[in-house]
Amino acid sequence: MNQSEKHNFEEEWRRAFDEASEAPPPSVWDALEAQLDQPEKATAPIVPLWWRSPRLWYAAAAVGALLLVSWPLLLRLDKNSQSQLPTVAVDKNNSQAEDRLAGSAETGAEAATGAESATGQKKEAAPAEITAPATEPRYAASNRTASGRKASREQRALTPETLLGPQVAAVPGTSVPGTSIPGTSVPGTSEVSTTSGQESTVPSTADSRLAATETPRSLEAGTPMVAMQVEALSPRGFRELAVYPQKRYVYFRYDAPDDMPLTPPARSKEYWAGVGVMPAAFNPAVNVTSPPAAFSAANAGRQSMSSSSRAGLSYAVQTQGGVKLSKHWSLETGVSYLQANSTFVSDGYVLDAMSNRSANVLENALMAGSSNRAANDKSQFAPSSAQDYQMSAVYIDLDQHTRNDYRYLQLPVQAGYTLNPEGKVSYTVLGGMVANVFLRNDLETAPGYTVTNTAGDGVYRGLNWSAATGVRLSYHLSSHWTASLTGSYQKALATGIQNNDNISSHPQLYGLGWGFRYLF
Amino acid sequence: MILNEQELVNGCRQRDRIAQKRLYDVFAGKMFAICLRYTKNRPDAEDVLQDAFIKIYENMDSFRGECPLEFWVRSVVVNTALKHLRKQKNLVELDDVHTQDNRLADTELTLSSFQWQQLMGFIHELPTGCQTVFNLYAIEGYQHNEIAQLMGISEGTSKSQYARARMLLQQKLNKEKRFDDESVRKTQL
Repeated sequence: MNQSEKHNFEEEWRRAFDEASEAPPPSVWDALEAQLDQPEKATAPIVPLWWRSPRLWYAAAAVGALLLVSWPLLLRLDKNSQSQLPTVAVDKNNSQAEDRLAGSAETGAEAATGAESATGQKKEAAPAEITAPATEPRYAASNRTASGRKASREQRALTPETLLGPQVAAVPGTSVPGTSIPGTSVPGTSEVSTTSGQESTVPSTADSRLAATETPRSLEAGTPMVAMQVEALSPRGFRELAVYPQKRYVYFRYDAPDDMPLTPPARSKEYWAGVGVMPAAFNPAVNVTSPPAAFSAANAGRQSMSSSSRAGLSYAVQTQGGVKLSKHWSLETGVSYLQANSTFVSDGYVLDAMSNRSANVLENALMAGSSNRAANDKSQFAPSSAQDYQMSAVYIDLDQHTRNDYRYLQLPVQAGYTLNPEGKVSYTVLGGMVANVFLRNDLETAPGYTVTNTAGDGVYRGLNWSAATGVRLSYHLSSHWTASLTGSYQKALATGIQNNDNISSHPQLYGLGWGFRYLF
Repeated sequence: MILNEQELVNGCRQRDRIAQKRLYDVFAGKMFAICLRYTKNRPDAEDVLQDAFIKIYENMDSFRGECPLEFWVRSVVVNTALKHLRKQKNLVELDDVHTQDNRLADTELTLSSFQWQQLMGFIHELPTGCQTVFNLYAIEGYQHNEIAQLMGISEGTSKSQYARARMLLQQKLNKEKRFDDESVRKTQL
């Protein structure tokens, strides 16, 4: 049976029942309506049969076990907390004073029971407290034993009023040393001594209100015990909790629908501009390919070929601009002024016997190819014919070092690939081309005598391309400023001298540039 | 008063009895036929229909109009029928069955000569598991993996149950066809 037959089978059955319909009996709607008419049953209160749930039993067992284990620990903690308040527990006088201060709030009955529980004290004190609890509370309070309400008194001793003890003690005229000393030296007899102190102190106070309420406290405040108490109640010093940092991985993405495409934020192109200076070693690499006519006439053709160029210290002032194309790639350009200095070294020079003027091989070769020779002074040196050379030119075999300086305007275009672009220090590999616009050449043929060639003379190419490469080390000072150190190498692709078969020049440059860049 | 679908839905959401009755009148016939297909007898089908409509009225708020109302009502009825069967424990012990005589089932017969009531009778004669799987796969159009999830069985069980249902139905159809042919011949003679 193939698939189509299978589908036919199911399709036929589906079609057969597609329009199948049979009216249900009316009783169905009646029952349905009756069910719909039923008022919503008041939900019966759910009786929690918790004892039938084993989970609750497990939970109860766990709580019980926890309490069993932690009970000794709790007791121990309780003992420790009590032991940390020694003066509060011992200083009955203070607690009694608190009772006296709070005595105005106590009922007379409570005071009466306190008096009844006192051992060997007079019962007359009870009515006195009922009538004037604020004025005469000390008597009843002193009659109390420390056994019954000790705990409550200890708690009350922690009220702010207790902390105010030293301030009250500073009130003049309230301290009676004669009464306070016995109360502190003999704690067991403190009730008696305090009682006696009351009789002597109350009349002596200037302020009756202070005398009635604060005198007992001031009495005790004058004792060293109060200082101990305050010390004991002073708040604990802060203690820093140990912090254990935990690395969290949050997978929850707040309010971000799943179907939203995660497009990276559009990165705007970053532009930067910079300035710099580049000390460099420039070598014009002048090469005499064939002897100039004067040297040939002087029979010094071979010697003229052995000349060379030496690099001199040069510098370039650079302005740069660039754009960051991507995270790693960038494109940069700029304008540089290159003062390129070099030295031309030759084994000798020719001397015109007639005019007594000298010319080195480079000068002679350059003049040979110059298009406007007449405009150059040195062209006058050149005889009109080879025959004249033979007659007048003399080769002087003496090493000659002549200054050969160039000035170029450079327009580099380079691409850069940056490693570690987001780091504090990044590295960029550069590569590109440099357009060298020739400005001028100063050739010192003799001391004090300089031949100058400009772009208009037609000796040098006005525009010569160089290949450039380099490595830049960038240090990001801030989000905008960057200091850079760039090592670069440039090599001319073609000779910089035009229309001259006697000489060629492929300048090359090694430079180490320092600069700052500002990122916009 | 003729109510359109949206008015029916809104009326049922507001517990409007007229709208509820109208909805019942519109769909009760087709839904009762479905209930009959899934159950073995009429009283069960009536129970399923009643339960299904109660659910429909109570859950009308969950109908979001993403499909025609009839599809949604139909799905509620089918689910209620499955629940009813599950409650009756008719779907508990469904195992793989091996159909040996599949060749007989390959001989296709057209159903055009049968009334749907006859076909319903054939379906009722199927074992409950086969009946349910057949209804879900052949008529409702569910896939076997969906049926497996709906019924709590494996996909293989669904396939084997369906194959068996198919074979049994083919046998019944063939038998009925032969009987019809013979009766026709006798009549002609």
